[in-house]
Amino acid sequence: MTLEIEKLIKDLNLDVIVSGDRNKKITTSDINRPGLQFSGYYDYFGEDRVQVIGMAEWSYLDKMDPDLRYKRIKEFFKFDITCVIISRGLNPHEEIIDTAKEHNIWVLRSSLQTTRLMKELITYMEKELAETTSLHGELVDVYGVGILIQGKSGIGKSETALELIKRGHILVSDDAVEIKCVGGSLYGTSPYSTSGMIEVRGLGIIDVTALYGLSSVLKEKIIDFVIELEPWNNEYDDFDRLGNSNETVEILGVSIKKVRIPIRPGRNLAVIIEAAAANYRYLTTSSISPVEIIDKRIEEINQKKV
Amino acid sequence: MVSKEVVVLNSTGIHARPAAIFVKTASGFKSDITVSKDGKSVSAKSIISVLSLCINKDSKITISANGEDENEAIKALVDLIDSKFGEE
Repeated sequence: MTLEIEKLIKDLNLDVIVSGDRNKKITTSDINRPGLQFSGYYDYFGEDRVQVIGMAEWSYLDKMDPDLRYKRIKEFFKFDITCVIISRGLNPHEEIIDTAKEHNIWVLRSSLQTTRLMKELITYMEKELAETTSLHGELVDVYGVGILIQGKSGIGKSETALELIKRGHILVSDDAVEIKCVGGSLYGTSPYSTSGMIEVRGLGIIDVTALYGLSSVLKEKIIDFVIELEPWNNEYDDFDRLGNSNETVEILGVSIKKVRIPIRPGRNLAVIIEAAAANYRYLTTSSISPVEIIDKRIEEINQKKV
Repeated sequence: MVSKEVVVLNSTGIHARPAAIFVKTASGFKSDITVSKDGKSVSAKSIISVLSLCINKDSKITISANGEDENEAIKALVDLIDSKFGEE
């Protein structure tokens, strides 16, 4: 994934001091502070990174002899630099402006303090540069737990989501979920054109926000686990009977818990999904599982007998 | 599995009305059918998914089908797009 400099400027509200090459793109969320480079050391120079000039680098350049400063800056801009951002609203030295113009390199400015700017930059770039995918399913927030409900077309995913919304839970996306992996977490959102909408067979598309209120929809949610709805199979069932299966599914390289739920008429899916969400919270906070409790009780009885 | 790349010709692209026709046609087949645009792939049997792709006039899309009636499915959907959904 790549990020256009013009998008970065707009989203982070940066001033443009020198406009550079419009085709230049950011490809890494890493940052370099070019203090060492200004002192003439170029081993391990991350030229593809965003270069942040803070008060330290600025004052180092400022105290330098003007001839040397010109030489060092010229050397710096010979590299294929993505962009330079100056923090604290500092005015860049003229040598920087002139040389950057000469090499068609972006020089931008932020009013933020350097550490604050770096934190914002990294968070923003990680999100923008994150790997994405699109999956079929419903993304809902049930008791604060992000659940991706999957299953074959027509199995009743949207109807289940609708019942969950009716019970006070929150819809993130119907049918198509866009997923980004940031820092090992999977962030799911709805495509812009269909956000807040759900299709119910027979009714067509309904506007969830209009019918159930603003609090029934959410823009983005981290996916905690996946529920797969499957047709009930009477002959052979391999569903989890103890609640201790470690089944997982891989999304964008992240391994995530998967629960398979068999469906058949009369099973109240919304109630089951609520229970699954509550159980997920229980299992992530509790040190003992229901199966272990039963095993312990059995052991207790056996010991009494001896 | 069969795939075919097509360019959408009708002036409104695959907006609501054409999307409904497209999804209805796709749902008539047993095969799993997907539509993809700009690397995003979604189910062709879901109206919300098809609309989420924002397919406009001149958009290049790929239709893929996998199943017993895959060839018939692709042919029907490609014909539908080529016919501009009956629009002028």
